[in-house]
Amino acid sequence: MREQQLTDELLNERLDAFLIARRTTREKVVSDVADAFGPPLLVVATGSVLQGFSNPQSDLDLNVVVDYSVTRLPLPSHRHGFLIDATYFDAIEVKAWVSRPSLTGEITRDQWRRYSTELKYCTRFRDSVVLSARDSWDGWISEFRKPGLVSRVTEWWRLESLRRWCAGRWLADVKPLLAAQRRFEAILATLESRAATRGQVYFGPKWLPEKLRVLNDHEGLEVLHAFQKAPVTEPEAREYNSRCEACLIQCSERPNERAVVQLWYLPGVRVRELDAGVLVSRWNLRAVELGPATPRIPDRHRPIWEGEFDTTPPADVLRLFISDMTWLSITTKPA
Amino acid sequence: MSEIPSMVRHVALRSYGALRFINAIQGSMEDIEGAISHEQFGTVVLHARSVVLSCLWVRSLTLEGEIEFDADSVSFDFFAGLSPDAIAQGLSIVNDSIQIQTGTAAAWFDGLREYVNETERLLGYKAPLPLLRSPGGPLGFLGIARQWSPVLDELGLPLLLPPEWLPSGSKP
Repeated sequence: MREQQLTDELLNERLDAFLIARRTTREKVVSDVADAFGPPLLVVATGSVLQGFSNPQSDLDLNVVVDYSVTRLPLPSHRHGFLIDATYFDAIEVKAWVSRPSLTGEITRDQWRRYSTELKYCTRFRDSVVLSARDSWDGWISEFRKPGLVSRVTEWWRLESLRRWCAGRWLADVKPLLAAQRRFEAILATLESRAATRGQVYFGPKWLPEKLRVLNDHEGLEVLHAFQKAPVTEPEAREYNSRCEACLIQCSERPNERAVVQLWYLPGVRVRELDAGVLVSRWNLRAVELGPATPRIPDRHRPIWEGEFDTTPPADVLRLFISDMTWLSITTKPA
Repeated sequence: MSEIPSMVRHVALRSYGALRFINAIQGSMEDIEGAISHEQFGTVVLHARSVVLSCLWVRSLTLEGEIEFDADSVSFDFFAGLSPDAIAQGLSIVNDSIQIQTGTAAAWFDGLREYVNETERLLGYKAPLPLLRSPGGPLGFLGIARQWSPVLDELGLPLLLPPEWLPSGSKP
């Protein structure tokens, strides 16, 4: 298995090949960037084209930094005969990503989402070609190329594998087909972590086979091929889950740490008191009736349950999870 | 005209189902077509799984499906309330993609497209949904959002537009 170094030379080569094939230039692409948010501080080309995964249908992703508060509303452009997908960022948020510490302690769904999104954007800036810059903003690219980002991505996928593995275990008896899906995702996340350690940090899970191919990771591809056929019935899923469990035990990296699982109520969940228990509902559309020991919602900033990775919650709490009323986070603590 | 057994689930199908189509399924279908043309068959399999799981969820919306699509929430159930046959039909399309080669990919993709089109028809729109990656796509989708947002608000359901599309400080 080899490591992959994405050099500036390689990134530039790939971008130029893409543009020449479409009879356009960098200048024309930059001219397409909207100036509704003021003159851009930084415009970079990024995405699958620069990763070497592009195909004839591929669009060109641009990341644009402006000194303005912006949203991620898609702004596609076809002015040059192919799709240019520009995403705009506020300079303040981009600067904040670089110094953002890894997630620790209590991790809510919102924190998890923000961290994963920021990590994805960091990797996009890391593997990019600067098309225009002012006020020294091209210097920020080197911030994204520091080794710390590779470690953060590797660790992210390792914990994602544990998160999805845990779900697969807890769902296995009641929802074996869903458990199979989650365990498959756990295996994918393990392979993503493995690819990231070798330089493939691009956040695009569907490109995993291409990443493994580029890395010449035959063992990784073999694992992927062994589990990509989805079980279609519950008996098949039970057999599949056993195979996945064995694979995950063998492949997962578990350093000397305590992996701690946290459950949080999802948005839209309400707990109503009954005579001998509670009615837990989401959006007043789905509900489950549980016993009196079911956690209430005392504090939105605290998990309703926390326990070691290898444990199972009490019956009512587990039922909440299986009924999709809770968000599951994983955090690590020293052993 | 047809009877609507559950108004909330009907609204969920028409609104959140349409969002998933526009925001994810359409793009993945284009990506699959591109990957086939470049013989990136491994990538096709993962894209196909994502498309089919989204379609299964759309089909579950009038049954027991959770209305907020959140595949990152590990308890989120793509199959809620679906019959074993419905689940097997969808997942079999994914499994068939594992075998495709240059000569068989087009026929397989036709089958996937028919499954996706059949799912889109369940949403009940008279015309095909706007394509987000097309020049008028974002505005077309905002039109759909404008239609359903007051109803969702009245029913106490979550916002239709992804939070990242909204200005910071908007209601989550």
